[in-house]
Amino acid sequence: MGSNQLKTQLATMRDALFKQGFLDEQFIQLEELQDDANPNFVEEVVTLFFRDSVRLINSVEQALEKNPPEFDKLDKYMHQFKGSSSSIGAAKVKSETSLFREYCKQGNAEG
Amino acid sequence: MEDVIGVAASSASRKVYNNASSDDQIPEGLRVLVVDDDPTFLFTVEKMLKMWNYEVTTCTDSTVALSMLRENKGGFQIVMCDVHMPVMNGYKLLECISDLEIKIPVISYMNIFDLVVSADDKKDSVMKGIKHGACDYLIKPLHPEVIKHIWRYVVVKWKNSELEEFERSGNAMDANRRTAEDAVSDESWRSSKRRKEEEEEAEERDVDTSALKKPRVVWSENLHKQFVAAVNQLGIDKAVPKKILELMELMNVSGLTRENVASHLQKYRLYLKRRDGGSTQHHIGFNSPYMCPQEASFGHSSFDNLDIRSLAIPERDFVMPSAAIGRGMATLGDPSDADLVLHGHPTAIHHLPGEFLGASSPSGLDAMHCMDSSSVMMERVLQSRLRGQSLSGTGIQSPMGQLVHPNDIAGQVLERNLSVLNGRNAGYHSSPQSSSLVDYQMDEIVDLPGNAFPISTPADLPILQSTDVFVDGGRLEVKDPRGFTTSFETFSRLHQCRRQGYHEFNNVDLTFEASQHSNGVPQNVHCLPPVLSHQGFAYNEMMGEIRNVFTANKSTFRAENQLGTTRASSMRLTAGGIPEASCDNMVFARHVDQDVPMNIFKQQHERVEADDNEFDYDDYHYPSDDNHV
Repeated sequence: MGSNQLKTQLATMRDALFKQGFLDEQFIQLEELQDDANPNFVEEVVTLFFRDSVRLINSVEQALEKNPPEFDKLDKYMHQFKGSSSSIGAAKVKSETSLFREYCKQGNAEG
Repeated sequence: MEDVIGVAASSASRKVYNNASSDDQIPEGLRVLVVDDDPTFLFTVEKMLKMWNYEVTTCTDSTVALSMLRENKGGFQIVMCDVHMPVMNGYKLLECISDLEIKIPVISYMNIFDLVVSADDKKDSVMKGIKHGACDYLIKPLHPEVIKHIWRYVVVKWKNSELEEFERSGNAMDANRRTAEDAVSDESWRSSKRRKEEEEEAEERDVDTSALKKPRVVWSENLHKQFVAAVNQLGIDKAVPKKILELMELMNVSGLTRENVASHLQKYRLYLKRRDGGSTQHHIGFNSPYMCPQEASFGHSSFDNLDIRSLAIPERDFVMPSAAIGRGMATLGDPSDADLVLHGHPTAIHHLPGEFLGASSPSGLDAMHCMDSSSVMMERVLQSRLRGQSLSGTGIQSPMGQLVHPNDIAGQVLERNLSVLNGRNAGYHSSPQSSSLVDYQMDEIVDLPGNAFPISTPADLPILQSTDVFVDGGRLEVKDPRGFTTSFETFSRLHQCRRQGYHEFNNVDLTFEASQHSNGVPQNVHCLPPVLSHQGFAYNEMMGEIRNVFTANKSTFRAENQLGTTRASSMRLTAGGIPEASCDNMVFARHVDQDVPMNIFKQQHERVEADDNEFDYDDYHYPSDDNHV
């Protein structure tokens, strides 16, 4: 019973994520890769992603703190971030990074 | 987190890479090296690859990747790399890999969002990737299905390198060794190719984007049978490619295009025509015409008749042809030889009854089917030929026999020829294995020209193939044990066929020439089989060549004379021609690039002339050939 509830909750959350555009088809593919042999594949991938992104975000923060911000580096980070997020299907993150990159190009620190 | 993973994995996955024999792993177990700066991506890709039973090594650093490649030359069979990497650009990595001279396919990929503005950028990036030597260029995110099929690049690459090797091996190859190697590689190629084909047939054909030629359709015996069944069902008059294709697809044959069917149909029709037309004269002139040529120029016409007849008449008349052939060839002087040869044919024909394939000659034909055993077949062909012909002391016999086989190999068409040839081969006993290859080619070539199997030609052809033989002295004396003579015979046959206006013959000639060119007969022969088996690639080439030959009857003829000239291209030509002959003959004929064959022939011709061929092929230079052209 408890687990059913959890599962339902999980399903709902998942759907929400998709609907809100946080996740896209790539994520589904990742899920497909998960099977009995790799029960936690998705979990592993996402964990990896988070770890990586934490690192990236830190570097981004540092770059932003400087004055003026180091847009080149920022661009690079964003590029990486974009890649990772698209790999796991984190669509929204991906678009945010694109936006970020746009701002970088424009030299728009505020953005 | 990166490199550690990669390194650890690589050491675990590194294996000795044995080119010829590792195809048994395809598609499983292919060792892939993935280079990307994004660990998440690496992880994902690794998972995907492992799902399809690949062995994966990941790496985030290009330099590390390069060192890994260097350390173990055979360690990886395919490399995937990202083009946008901080340390070393993917393109640069590509260049470095090609510097290492590792002939493995490299797939580069990039993030789609890296493309800045428009589709043009994408194109540029792709072009850049290809220019740097990438086999393919993908876009992230990578779809699992795409990942699944990267093994095809490996197969292609293998085929390519095999072919190159063949070409390079050229003349002075040790025939036996080559045969053995070829056999092995052929096997591997065949199996891998088969596997590949099976897979491809099952799924949508995803043509390689790499620099692969369009794969040629090989008309295997089964395929041909199905084809014939379809045609018969529709009625030979009403059989149109479209309907045939539909019927065949109902029989679960996939991977055929209407064009393939059309060309094959054309060949088949010609074959039928020849068969029916020749049967009348079969008994009569078959032998004599055949014989005549020997004297003078192997009575081209007779040759044709011979072919036809041989097809129709089982064995009897063969004697003549073989004699003719034998005469023409080297030993020439023995009509009996010719007879032998002819014998081979008749039997072959016999088998063919109404069947496009004339898979009568069991050994030969079967061999044919198995493209791989083309070499074997060749030998058989040769042998049969040889037996048929008691070539006086010349190795022709063997060539002949071999020729027969090659034809079979050529495929269905070949089968017919083969049967014919086989019949002929009966006469031949000693067909050196090597020559068989040649013969095989020859046969194939012969068959290819058309449905009217110039049976004799095929046999002859193979002989030619053992151009090595020719080199020896222009005589049929096959340098190779095979019995160069056989080639000669084949050659003469070809001529005969040509005279008759067989286009096919032309092809055969071409093939013949090709074989001739390949002085390193063994090689040629071998090449063919692999080529044959590898249908797609080699065949195309060969076919093209053969066709060229086809158009250039004259040149072919001359080329044949040039037996001595061993040309790698010939080899290829032959090989390609033969296998394809069956299927592509038709097509080929259509697309015959007259110029090309002519050139080829001329070249060959020149070469031949240069060779000090005792065998005076010029006799074979049938004026009628010109007509064909």
